[in-house]
Amino acid sequence: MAQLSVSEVLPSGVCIGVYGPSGSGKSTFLRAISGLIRVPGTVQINDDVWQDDRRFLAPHQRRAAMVLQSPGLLPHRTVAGNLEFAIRFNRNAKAGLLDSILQDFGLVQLRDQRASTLSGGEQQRVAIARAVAAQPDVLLLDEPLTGLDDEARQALLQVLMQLKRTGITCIFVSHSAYEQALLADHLVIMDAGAIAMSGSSASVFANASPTSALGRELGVVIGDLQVVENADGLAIAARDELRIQMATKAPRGSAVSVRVRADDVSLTEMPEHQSSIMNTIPVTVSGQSIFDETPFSLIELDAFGTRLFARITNDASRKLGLRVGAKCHAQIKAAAITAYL
Amino acid sequence: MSPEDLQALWLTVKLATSTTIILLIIGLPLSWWLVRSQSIAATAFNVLIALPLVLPPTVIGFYLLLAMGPSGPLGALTSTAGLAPLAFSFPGLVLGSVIYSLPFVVQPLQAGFAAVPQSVLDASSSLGADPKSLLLRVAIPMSQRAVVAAGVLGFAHTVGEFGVVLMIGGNIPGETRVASVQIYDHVEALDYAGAHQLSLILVVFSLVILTLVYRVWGGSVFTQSGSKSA
Repeated sequence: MAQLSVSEVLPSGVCIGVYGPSGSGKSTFLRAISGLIRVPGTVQINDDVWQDDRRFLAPHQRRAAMVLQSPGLLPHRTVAGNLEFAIRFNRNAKAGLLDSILQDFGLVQLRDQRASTLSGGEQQRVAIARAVAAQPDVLLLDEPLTGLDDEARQALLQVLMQLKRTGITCIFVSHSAYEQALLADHLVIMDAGAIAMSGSSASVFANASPTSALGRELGVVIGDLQVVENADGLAIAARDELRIQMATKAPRGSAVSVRVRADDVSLTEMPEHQSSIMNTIPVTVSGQSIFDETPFSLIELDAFGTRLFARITNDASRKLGLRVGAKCHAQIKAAAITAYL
Repeated sequence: MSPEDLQALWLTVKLATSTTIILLIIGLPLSWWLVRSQSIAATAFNVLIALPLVLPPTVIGFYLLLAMGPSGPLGALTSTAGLAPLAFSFPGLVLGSVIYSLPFVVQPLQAGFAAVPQSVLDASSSLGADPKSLLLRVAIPMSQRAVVAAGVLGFAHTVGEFGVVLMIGGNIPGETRVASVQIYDHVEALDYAGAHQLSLILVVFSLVILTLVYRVWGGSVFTQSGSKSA
């Protein structure tokens, strides 16, 4: 178990992502909030003190509900029976809660199936629904999508994104930058049991040190792009003059966000027309960071008012004569762009 | 079969039933605590509970008899409470059987409870299940087969008891003379036909119970999980 040394006030009503390599203390952090483990210190949610120097509330006394990587359903009960288990302990539950949760999570058809007969993805869906049925002050999600096949993972990501819009406070532990980019409003990066960085998701993705846990995932999330063309899954989305080609099923007219990693952006002086790379965007260099400990520089770019990052070697940076104000073209492979609805 | 034989059989069933009910009431929370606790007390309890597995029944019976006697702690307890002495009485037999059969109930229960995944317990307590609900609504339903196995073994083992009964119960018809003691009496009196009749009933009973146990639990009552985990 990792040592934990955390002192942080986090926003409520949003999804807080906790990211870090394995052994960084993410799960320990979550378990300490839930009371499943006891670490010295104070845990306070809104105005309720769950633990301090004098008192320690047991997990069942804390209005937190936890979803673990293993769904932890009661195998002998049906889907409805599992939800009823949570509702039984929820003092604020109103009549009709069971049916509305079954409806919200698309579980009406599975209602009378025994939990042990469900697929892994279905079990985790029930586990998330069950935690929501407890109507907790904070929903704790510990790698809930890890170990699922890609189809189930995508389906549950949609479920979690819908859930996020209800304004529930959740803490989402995951070592997947992809999931974090999609779900986290506020991102906490943990390293060696301490918080290495904490802030809005966009700022953390843009400002993380390349040597940090998020290093290779560093990049930008560009929101509010409008799909203007979509031919069999290859789409062009635009915001003002910025046009980006990507693979997405989003139909024409819909809004998408995209994540562009610094590692996937290359720079060229002149636009190359004989390249497989479809996205060539004129940019202006707006910042440059050279890190002595790595052979790479991080170049901050302005593309029609949108910020982009490119990570290139220090040598390439010198050859291109990059400095603040220099104009060049950013190339991004369409295949490297992750689009979110 | 003589009326005495029938009376002995009926007494055996009564003793085994009362013992099994008490064993389950004690055994369920006790096993749960033993599985969950890492304290030295839990280790000590495990050793104490297992003692009847290795000690001759006469040794257990002997010490119980001393404890139930007028100068023993149990004897003192019953006399201050104004109750009849436990020695040579049916309640005394029940107490002896509970102690003697305890490991046969606790060990399958422990195996069953230990197989309940920690993730299920963690998720359940975060949803608001207090320790009592964890036992009653999570652990026991998930260990149904272990609970039934524990009950069957506790019952069967009490039926087969002889040494403890003879030491603390003696041989009082209708009060402490169970089937195993009745068979002993028949043999003492050279009534082999009577001994055969009762013995055959016990053999058939044991075969049926063991067949059930092996059919339902695959014969691995002491090691199997007692439940399928999710």
